[in-house]
Amino acid sequence: MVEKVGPTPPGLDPTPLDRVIGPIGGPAEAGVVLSERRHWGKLVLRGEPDDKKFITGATKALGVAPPSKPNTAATIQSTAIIWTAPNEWLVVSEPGTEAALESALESALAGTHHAITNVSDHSTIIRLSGTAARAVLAKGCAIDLHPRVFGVGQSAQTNLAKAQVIFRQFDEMPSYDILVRASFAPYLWAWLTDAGLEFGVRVEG
Amino acid sequence: MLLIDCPWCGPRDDEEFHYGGEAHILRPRDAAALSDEAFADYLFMQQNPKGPHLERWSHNHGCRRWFNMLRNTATNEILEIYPMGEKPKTEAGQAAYAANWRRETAAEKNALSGEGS
Ligand SMILES: [Zn+2]
Repeated sequence: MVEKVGPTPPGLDPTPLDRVIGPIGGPAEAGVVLSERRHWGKLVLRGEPDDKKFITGATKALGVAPPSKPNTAATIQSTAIIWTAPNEWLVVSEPGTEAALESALESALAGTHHAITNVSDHSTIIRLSGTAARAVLAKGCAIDLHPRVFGVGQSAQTNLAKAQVIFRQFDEMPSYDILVRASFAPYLWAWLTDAGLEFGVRVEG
Repeated sequence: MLLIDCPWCGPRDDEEFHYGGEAHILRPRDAAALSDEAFADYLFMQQNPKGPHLERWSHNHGCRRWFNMLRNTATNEILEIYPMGEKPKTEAGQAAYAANWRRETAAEKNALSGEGS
């Protein structure tokens, strides 16, 4: 039997991190700021990048072309399209928008060789931000995160402290959105709070 | 730790990769025509050299794509990385390919029979 340990904020659906996040708050000058992006939409989009009809259709539905360059993400407003393989992207969008986006993609891609899979509940997103965010991330992965190599718009599918993740940098602070499998999320949250301890950690709601 | 240069993602820690054994082992086209011994060459026998070895790897914690690699099993030096379905392009890779006893087996000759027709 699964026992729910922590409270889910009133009016919200539970997430994998509700039982571990603990109290919101922390020092204003904290070098590390953590929060969960609750229930964001996640669609796996697959298709051949050389297929003009596919790229045109996907661009029409998304508003931006799926990036062809490995380890990058394209963004349009709050939606991110992350390169995950030569014929695969992860589309991350505002909570509740994924169903409409899925049908928009289906109709724009009708007749092309493609696949769209809603994987929203497979993972959650931990937002890691702050002046020490890069140092914390570097403790757990072997990717070169120096700004001359890894900046805004870059993404990586890799291991962070042994957990399989996809992360992307979205501002110069730096700030990263880290996608992690639901069952690994409590472990990764605990690891991030521990790794951030020396810089001060603030948790935001 | 090995730093492996994924053809798609670039240099990554070896813990992100999965080793897929010897490369260029072709499945016989007409297995019924082979003796058990000849079929065993295809199914069970591996080269296992000390030195340059052509092998398959998958970037399974990243882009999940397979590729071929020429690696020195004694020093771990990575000499060449090339796509699936292709033959090695470096001199060392071509030498390793040619030197493999598998090239002379009935199983491989069977696999290649009728190729291109
Ligand atoms: Zn890769």
